[in-house]
Amino acid sequence: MDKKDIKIEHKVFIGLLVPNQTRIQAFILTLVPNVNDAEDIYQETVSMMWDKIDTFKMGTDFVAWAVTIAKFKVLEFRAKQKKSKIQFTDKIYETIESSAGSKIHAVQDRLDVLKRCIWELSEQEKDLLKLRYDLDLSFQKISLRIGKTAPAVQRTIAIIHSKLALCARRVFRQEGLA
Amino acid sequence: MTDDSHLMFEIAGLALHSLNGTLDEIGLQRLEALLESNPLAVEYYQEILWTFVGIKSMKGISCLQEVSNSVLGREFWQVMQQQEKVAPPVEITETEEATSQELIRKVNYPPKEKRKLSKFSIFMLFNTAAVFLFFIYLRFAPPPGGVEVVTLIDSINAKWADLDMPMHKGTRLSTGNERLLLREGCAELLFDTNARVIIEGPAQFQILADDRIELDYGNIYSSVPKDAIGFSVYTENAKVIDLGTEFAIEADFNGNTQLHVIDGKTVLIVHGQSDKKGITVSQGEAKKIAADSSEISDIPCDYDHFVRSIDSQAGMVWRGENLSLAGIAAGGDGIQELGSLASLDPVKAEYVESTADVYVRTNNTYNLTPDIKWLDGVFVPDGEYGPVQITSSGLTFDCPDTSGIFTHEIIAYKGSIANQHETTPPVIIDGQEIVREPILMLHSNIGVTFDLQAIRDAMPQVDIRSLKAMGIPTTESTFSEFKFWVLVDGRIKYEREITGYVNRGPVSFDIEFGPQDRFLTLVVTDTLGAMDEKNSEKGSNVPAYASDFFYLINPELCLTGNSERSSSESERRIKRMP
Repeated sequence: MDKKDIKIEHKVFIGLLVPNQTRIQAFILTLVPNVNDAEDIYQETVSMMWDKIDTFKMGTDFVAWAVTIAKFKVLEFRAKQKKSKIQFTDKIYETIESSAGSKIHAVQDRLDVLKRCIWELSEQEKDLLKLRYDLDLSFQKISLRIGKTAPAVQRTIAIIHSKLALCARRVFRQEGLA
Repeated sequence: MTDDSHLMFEIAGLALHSLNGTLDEIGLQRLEALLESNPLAVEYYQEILWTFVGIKSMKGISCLQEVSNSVLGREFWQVMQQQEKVAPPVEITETEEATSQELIRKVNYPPKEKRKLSKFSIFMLFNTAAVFLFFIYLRFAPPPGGVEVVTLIDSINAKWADLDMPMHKGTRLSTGNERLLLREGCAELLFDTNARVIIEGPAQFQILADDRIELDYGNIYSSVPKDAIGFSVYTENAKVIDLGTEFAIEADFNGNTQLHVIDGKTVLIVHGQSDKKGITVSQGEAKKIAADSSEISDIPCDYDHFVRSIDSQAGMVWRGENLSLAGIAAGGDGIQELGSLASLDPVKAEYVESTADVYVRTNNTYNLTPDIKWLDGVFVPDGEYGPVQITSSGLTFDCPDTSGIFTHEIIAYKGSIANQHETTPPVIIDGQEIVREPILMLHSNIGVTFDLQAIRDAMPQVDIRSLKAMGIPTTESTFSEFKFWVLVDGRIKYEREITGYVNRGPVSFDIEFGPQDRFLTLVVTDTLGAMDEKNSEKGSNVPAYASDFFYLINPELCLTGNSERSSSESERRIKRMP
């Protein structure tokens, strides 16, 4: 098989994964709200999806299939980390999982609205988000850069996040979206 | 229905802590209590995580200008403080479209007039259109040789062959048929898909697409973020697809390919096989694909062989090795081999010809070392007058009383000590002196502080995970009584009392750092008033601190993914000591 054939086969998988990876990542992060752990689980999920790509039927819901695999990987992670890491109790986990699963397809709509909400932030708020997310600076580095304590920086970024979340909810209500 | 901004803010704070890995048990209990008691809290929790994922997925806050000094504005912080109490929602104004729709009224258009164009006007019109289209073509047509998809972002000692264009930072590279030959040195490329690649010459390669590169021969290291999953490297007999990872490939002149996976997972496909027969190769694994037979065999994963980071400004080439604390104490970057013995005076705060065996008293100050790369300062610890300053930021340590005297400087060396320092005894294990590993020797009373943040600033792609070392007191049969401390930002992380005559067993420690930890301090203190009884009987009146030698064998700052290395032969010998 020449290079062109190889390209088409893996391209199908990538073509399915890339447009949906934000939804899958959001789902995993909701259940395991730690960036490093969620990244590891996501990689393992993608790896397992690749291994099992033959079990996916074209034309069916790719995200639903991916989320099934992600749930399995999250449970595997929780079982492994039970003693070494603090994590949600089983009861809370089930509550969050049930809610996250039912809203997975709403993630993309939320993200579109998020862009509008970011647009409405003040310039200073946008600057702070850029330091944190575009330049990937830690709270400590930001604090050294702007002369504030790291906890103050962290609190302010939490305020900005809560403003964005409230804005998104408000827009959804106003525009009658689900 | 109005939202509860207080609840949203509390959830946001807890969720962001959790995302950063800084949420403690109490915080988790609070978050769980909120989630359990209030369905709205569950919704808010999801919204916060979605905002986080959304921002991360945007690849940039696109409406930002350059980061301005606006964040320094006092007014901004005062407003933030107020909002911390209230956290009002963002107002979304009506869209212009919605507004304009309300104003649309019936418009009466004037009757059309017939216009006549002269032949000259028609001719000029066509000419203008042709010229306009020509310039549009020039602006948007792909350049000869393909599409620009990669940027050269750095290089060290790079020598390129047979090029028509200069290769410097910012040069854009295209797809197409041109093969690039890097005769020597290293080059760092950033694909438009955010995959980062370092190529070490001699190497010949071709850019195939914004997510694909072909390596004819040479070494390549790839760091691929999540949003660039699918990035592929082709060699003569194989293809590697990335699943979000760091991996390295060596293709030799004979056509053999080696794949080493530093982190994450990849799929390896041998030419002639379908994608479905690809095998997953994971972190810590390595495979060799033979040129003639395409057979795949397991080989050891080589973490230190491939260049993983370069910084031409700092002159740094990093192959993934841990940083030698002895090398840093000697004024280096911990990567370069330790050269001649370095002797750092804790009072003068400079390197000196050794003044060992001269009793020098502390100046009771913390002495900064601004000219020494990654050191913060040095001092002679003595708690007689209160807590001792141990960092430039003013952190202190409740140090015990000591004699306030030091007799040996902070010494970093490698090789046989006899040729380098008269009064420092060698470290001898199983009848052999330790000569292969770098050693940091601390004799009471000594303190040295390293600046971890300075290292992070110089190597932003690296995570300093821990300090790993073995320590051994002098192996000569002399009496010593001292204490060794390791502090991080003024907090004691390790302490050990060493006392007695005969060979004592080694101590080993592996101290983890948090991302916010800045200062690492090592301290050795004597025991005030203790005397060498054995020698006192002989009338020599030698204070006990005369023999307080403490050797750190190969002390290393372990960097991302590097803590699982195999021990050196010397470390294994030391571990076998009773």
